[in-house]
Amino acid sequence: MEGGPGLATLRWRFLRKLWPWFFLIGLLGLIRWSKGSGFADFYAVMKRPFWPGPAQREWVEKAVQLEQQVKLKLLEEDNQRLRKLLSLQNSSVDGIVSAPVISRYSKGWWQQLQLGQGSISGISVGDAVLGPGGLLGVIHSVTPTTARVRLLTAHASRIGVWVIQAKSHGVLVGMGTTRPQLNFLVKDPKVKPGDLVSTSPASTILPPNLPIGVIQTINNQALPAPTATVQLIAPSEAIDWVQVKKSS
Amino acid sequence: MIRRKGIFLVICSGLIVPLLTYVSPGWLAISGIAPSWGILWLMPWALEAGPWAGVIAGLCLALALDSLTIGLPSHLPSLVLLGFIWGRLGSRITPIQGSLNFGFIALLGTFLSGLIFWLQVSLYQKDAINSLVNAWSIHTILAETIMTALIAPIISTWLLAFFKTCRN
Repeated sequence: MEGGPGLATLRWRFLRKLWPWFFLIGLLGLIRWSKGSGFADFYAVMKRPFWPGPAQREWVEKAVQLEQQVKLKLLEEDNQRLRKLLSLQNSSVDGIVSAPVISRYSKGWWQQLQLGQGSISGISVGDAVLGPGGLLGVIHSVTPTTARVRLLTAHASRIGVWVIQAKSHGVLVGMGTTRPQLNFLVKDPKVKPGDLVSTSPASTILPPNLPIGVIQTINNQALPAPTATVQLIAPSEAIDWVQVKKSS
Repeated sequence: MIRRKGIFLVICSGLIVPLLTYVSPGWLAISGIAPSWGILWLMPWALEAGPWAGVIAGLCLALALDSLTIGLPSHLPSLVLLGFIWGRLGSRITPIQGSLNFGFIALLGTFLSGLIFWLQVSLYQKDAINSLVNAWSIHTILAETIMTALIAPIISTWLLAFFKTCRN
């Protein structure tokens, strides 16, 4: 049986030569269908060494920060003006005195700090004392060169506070332990462990919105209203310098 | 003249007590609770000088120590009572001797003082009445008692010898 290849063989050879082209057309079709994702990704990988450097990103971040600072300043000024209208305490950053802790009783029968700055520096009774993280206590008494701070954990400490997330008011009472107790004023305060406690925005004694601590446990069975245990943010045992926020 | 000098030295040693309360070193404490320096001073003085001298010294010391703290509990009831009890104990015919005896007397005295502090706090703070036997007060009483009793044999023995010298 002499003769050339059969018709089927010829067709097969022809298809074998053409299949890379079919493959290419199919691939391009897929790229077209995916709106050029393959191309775009390839381009991004190739362009990566030529992307805008960190310097440009920093410029943008700085610009955003500046914008936020300006916004904050404007809001703060607005807030001060409104608080003045309502005769509430101001929250300005002016009038802060740094003072060293010269003696401390943070455990035991009394919870207090003795500061190395007094009335000469403008500190007066009732001023708020801040540590890193939040409010530590309130000035109890002053001498010309020293001031005594009643810590929030002390027995007679009672300040008005506010739970930001639940928008619920309460009284923070020192129990002599490291964690003060928060007595709520309403039956259903809608708070949960982890909520942030700060000074009351309606306070006429302390500056508003100073962070104090985080709710640790809640006792819903307490009468007449629920109570909570608060873990303070500022650790009084390990602070050597504090900031006193002058009220006047 | 010698007597005046002795009294002056006793008063000076008493004035060191508030200072020691301020500068009490952190390492001389059990979980932040320092020994009671007032008791360490008052015990040898009352044992040496008698009940009324003990009461007056307790009163003066309590006023000085109360001026250092923010409020209740006060040192006054405990130091006056201990000054009287220790004064009576010192007036016995057989004098109290031996370091361990001082440690034991200081232990009982500090524990009694701690109970009086705890009673004051419980009566003053209505919230604390809910948990009369709360862990922090027991912890404070025990830590202060142990620290004071451990130091008393050293300091009070030395102070007693010092007061004897001052009075003679």
